[in-house]
Amino acid sequence: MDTCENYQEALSLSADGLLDEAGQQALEAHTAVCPDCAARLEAFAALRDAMAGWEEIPPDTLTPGILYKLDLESRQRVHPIRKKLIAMGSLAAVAVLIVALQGRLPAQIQQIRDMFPHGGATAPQPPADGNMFIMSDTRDQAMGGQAAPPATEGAMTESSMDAPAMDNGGAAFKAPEPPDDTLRVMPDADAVPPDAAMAATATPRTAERDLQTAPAEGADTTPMPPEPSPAVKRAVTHYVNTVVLSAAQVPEELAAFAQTDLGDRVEIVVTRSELAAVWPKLQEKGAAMTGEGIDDVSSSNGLAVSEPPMANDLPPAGTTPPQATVPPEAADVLIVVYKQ
Amino acid sequence: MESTESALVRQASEGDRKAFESLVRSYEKKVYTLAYRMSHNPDDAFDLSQEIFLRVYKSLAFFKGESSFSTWLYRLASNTCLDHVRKEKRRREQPLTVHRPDGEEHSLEWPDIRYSPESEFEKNELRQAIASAMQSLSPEHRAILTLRDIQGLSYEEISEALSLQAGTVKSRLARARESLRAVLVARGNFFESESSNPSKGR
Repeated sequence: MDTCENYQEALSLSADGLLDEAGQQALEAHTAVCPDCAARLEAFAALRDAMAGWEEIPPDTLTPGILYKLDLESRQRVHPIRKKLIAMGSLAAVAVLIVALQGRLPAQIQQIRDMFPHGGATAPQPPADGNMFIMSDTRDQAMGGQAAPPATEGAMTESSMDAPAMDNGGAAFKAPEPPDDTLRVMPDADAVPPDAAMAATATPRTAERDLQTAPAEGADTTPMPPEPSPAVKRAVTHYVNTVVLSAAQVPEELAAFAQTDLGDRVEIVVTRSELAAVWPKLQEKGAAMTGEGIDDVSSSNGLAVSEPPMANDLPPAGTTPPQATVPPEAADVLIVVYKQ
Repeated sequence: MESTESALVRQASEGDRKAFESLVRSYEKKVYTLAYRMSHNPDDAFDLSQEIFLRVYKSLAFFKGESSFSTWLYRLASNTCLDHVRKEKRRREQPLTVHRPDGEEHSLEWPDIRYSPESEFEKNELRQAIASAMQSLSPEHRAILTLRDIQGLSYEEISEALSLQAGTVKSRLARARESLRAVLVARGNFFESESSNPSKGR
């Protein structure tokens, strides 16, 4: 049937100059007797001409804005503390931290697991033979027999899949008496392991939230919490090392570090060396550290964390939990200041 | 020999910010124009453009060079704009729907009066009328008209950018042009057909 509807596509193609010769002839025959379609053809061509090269000029701020947002996002993803850890080849420190956190602060454990979905949950799985945490440099090695955890089948699968994270996560979990060269240090501060970067990308929201708990060096600081109520809530929390303070115990020096206000408390994360600088002041005010092997904050010895894993992370009977060490510079200390 | 653009794309995918900035600068007008025609307001166009380029940066690792970079970019940009416009559409009042003789449902959208052409400086009258008329088209029609008539993409590129079969590109483009023309005619702007133009022969 020779209806106008049948020519709609031909009209459009013709306006684009893409109609083949036979089609063009048929269309011309139709438009010769159909003024509506003749007008359409004209209109389509006119529309096309009017719209060709029609550009809107974006505001000058568009490109700088995009670059700024990118910078902002990447700063939030790779946080200074993680950079430090990574620089030391010590994502392990985070794994240690998770060991220390097991069963203590479910919310924080979840945050950290979210942040390191590949390594966080499985890294602390203790080995039967005590050898699984010996660092291996390549994925292949990590996927090999020595890296296979002895736990349940499910855990094994998970750990195997997460082998790249285990490289890092396991770095500092030395066997009880490891050879000297088992703990290797990556010297390049920017050598972010791709899996770690991906882990951060995979859960940006969680990571961002979590990262807010740590300081950005020299970054802006939020005001200290108001004077505390008489009842200062003390809680034993483990973040490798934890210092629990009341607001009255906070020395001025701590104001230099970024703080995260979590409502009932303010958290400040510092490294051991940073803490050492303010430790005398804190001691004057009666602060004490919690955690294991951390009596002397100014000690240059490696920090030992011997906190046993909790319930579902317990090793098979007859095995001992891993002894982990991290270089002191890499050890983070969580300072919790309770407002009430 | 690697073209300048593919070199920039490769460098940007390796995290080179300068290379990425060059890519953004060479495509910002095109992306902004698409976002503007799709959203019909400068604020959304700005936000959409930013979102598109941030997505581009994050997705560069997945660009394998199977299509040209520009087609790939248009695909990402069109999808982002279409998502946005569809969400906006759901958010706003129930759209007017008309049933055309071909059985296809066309929704006429409420124009966003905050950005009515009267409040804006447009380059010329015809473009102003088209910009306004495009608001009442479906997002799909707006997208295909922008890619074809404004950006000048080929049918093949549109097929890739909008994930459409070649035949669908032809038919949808024809319908989109007819819808646009019909709106302009209905508003008394342009293109009165000769048979229905009472002023004919005056």
